[in-house]
Amino acid sequence: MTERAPLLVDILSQYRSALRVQMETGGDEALEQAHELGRRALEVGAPLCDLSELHYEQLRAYAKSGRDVSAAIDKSEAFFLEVAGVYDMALGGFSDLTTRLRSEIEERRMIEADLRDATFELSRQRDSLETRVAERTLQLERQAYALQSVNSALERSNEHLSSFAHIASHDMREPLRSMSTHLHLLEIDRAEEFSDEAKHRLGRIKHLARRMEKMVSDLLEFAQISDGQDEPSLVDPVDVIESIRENLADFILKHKADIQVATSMPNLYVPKSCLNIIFQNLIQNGIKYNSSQNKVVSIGCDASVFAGEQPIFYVLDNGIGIDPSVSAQIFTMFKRVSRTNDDGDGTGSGLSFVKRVIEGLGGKIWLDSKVGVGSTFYFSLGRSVLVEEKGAKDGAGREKTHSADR
Amino acid sequence: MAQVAKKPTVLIVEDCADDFEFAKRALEDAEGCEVDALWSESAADALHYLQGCKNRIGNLRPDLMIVDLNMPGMSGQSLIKELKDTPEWRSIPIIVMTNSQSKKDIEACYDCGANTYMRKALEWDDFVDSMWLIKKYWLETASLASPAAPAG
Repeated sequence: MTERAPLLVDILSQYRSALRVQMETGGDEALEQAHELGRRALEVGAPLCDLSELHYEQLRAYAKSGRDVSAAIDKSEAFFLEVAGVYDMALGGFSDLTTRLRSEIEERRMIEADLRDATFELSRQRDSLETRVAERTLQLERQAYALQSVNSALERSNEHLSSFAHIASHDMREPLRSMSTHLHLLEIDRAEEFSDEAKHRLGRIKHLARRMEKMVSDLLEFAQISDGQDEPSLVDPVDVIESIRENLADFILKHKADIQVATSMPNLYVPKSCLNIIFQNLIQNGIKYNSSQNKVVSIGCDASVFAGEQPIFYVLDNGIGIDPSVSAQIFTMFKRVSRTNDDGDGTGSGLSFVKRVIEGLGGKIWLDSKVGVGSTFYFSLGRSVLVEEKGAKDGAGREKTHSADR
Repeated sequence: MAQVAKKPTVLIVEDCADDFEFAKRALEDAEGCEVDALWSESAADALHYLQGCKNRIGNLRPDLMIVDLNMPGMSGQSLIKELKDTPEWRSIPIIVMTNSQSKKDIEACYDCGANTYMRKALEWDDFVDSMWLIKKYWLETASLASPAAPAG
């Protein structure tokens, strides 16, 4: 600054004297030199108004001397127009630049606002999404927990029930057996002391104790059905029925019964003991509750089922039939709805075993019966039981194996 | 052997009085030799009786033991283990007679050294038959280790 200030003063004083010289002499060369100085003064930062003041002073002094100043005024005007032109241009350029900058800033501001809005919206959405996910997770967790506690309660109650039946029947059997033995010893030791009536009553007591013992064993068996199963294997129902026919040979002979078996039954992938319980009880039932001269039980499988459906098996008898009003009760433990033609051995638990086994395999049992004509028990097994259609002869058609749950 | 052969002693370990009575009666009803049937109503009771034999207070050393499995307190199985682990009693044949047909029980009893495991017959006549078999085999057919001579 200290350097420039004298320089500017110098230029201005040179400029002033150049103007005076020009005005006095009127030489163009001096004027051009003065204007050049004026431009330099502007370049080094002299304000335009200082220059115009300078010009004004000189013109006044020149006019005072009584000379014609119009030419000098024209030249000054031309000079100032020229100098101001630079300002004008700069100003124009600057204003363009400002406008552009302003619009750029505005544009940027709008982009930023949009961006902010979008970010806000996004975070709002994310928050709400997070909230919803959290809510749903909590809900699911609650449901899972509820389900789990229901499950474990069910398991516990099942365990309790099973162990209760097990313990109860074990412990109940002992005194019953002892009762029977005491009665027996009383009979063999004191036979001659008893009247016929006393002997009859002793016999009844013994019979009832036996019967109750059998019921208790059945209860025990019923409780064990669910836990003591063999592994599933490929079983031909015809084989199972044939072995039952052998086991029950005496019983069948005694009742002069005929068991007819359809040869076309599909093989099943099930625990063999399950099929055994099902068929044995249904066959025994068909013979026990039967007053026909020629007792017939026929077993087969409904061939008209659609592909993919589980086959329906049937056990048909020409027995006494079951009144529809009591058909629901027959599957209840120890419920006998009519007298058997047997010696009263049955406890009325056979059908509840059958139902339990079938339901354990995911299947169901139902019946169609007419009093005095006979009953047909139908059952199908669950979709988890694989079914294998038998080939024309033996098991050659193994490739036809299909699972119904497809 | 010059002495008059005494009746064999059978110690029955059974918590149920009825069952002891039946066992004793069945042993009597069964053909064959006569026996002295003694009763211990718990495993601890049986050990106490045997302790008495050792102390020579007049208790007769059993020739055979018939043991029930499920008893309150010490189980029949623990009793068998205890007896088979004790040199003095190891040679007494032990017949397990129980209602349990559990594979686990059967294996565990033989593991402990039981000599026979059999199921209690349900019918009286069968029960008498099984007692006849026991007498016939263990007391009339098999030669048993004679009781250790009282030392000193």
